[in-house]
Amino acid sequence: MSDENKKKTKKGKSLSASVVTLKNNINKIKKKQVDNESKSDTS
Amino acid sequence: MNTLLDYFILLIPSIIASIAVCYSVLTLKEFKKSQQFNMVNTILGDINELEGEIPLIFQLQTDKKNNEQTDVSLSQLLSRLFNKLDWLSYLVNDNQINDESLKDYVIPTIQDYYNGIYTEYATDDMKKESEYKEFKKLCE
Repeated sequence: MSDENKKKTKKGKSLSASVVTLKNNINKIKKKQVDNESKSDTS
Repeated sequence: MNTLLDYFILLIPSIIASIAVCYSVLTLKEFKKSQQFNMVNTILGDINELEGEIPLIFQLQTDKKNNEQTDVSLSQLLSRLFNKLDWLSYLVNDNQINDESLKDYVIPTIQDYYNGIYTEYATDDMKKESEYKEFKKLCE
């Protein structure tokens, strides 16, 4: 990354709301995958 | 013999020409700026559209209960998302987007996606050195 661009980064700051939402949704999908797997294992 | 009025008459067209040149330069600057805003707007719109596909994956999971299919859909979505971010990063790295206020907005946004999504959910294939070079160059 160029020095000029480096200055524009926001180190240590929290993620933006849209990225957090996307992250949560991906986590939900992953969790449901685990649930589906455990259900199919028991049946 | 030249009078003061003659000089003044000669001066007027030069002043008008100078104003016209200044106006053209300003217009060109504004046009470039608006072009950059349009480029960013289009890419961010595409990213929003991609994120809107998440409910379809949920639906697929509920209907089919097929993990393999869900995996494929999710990695396709992530790959398309990273492609868009790579393209946006290229535009920043190549100085095609050079408006400072726009860069102040775009660079932290790209980095959020890198820190929040890419580092956690990218598959091994997506993390290969040859992939998403511009995206990684901007964020690492």
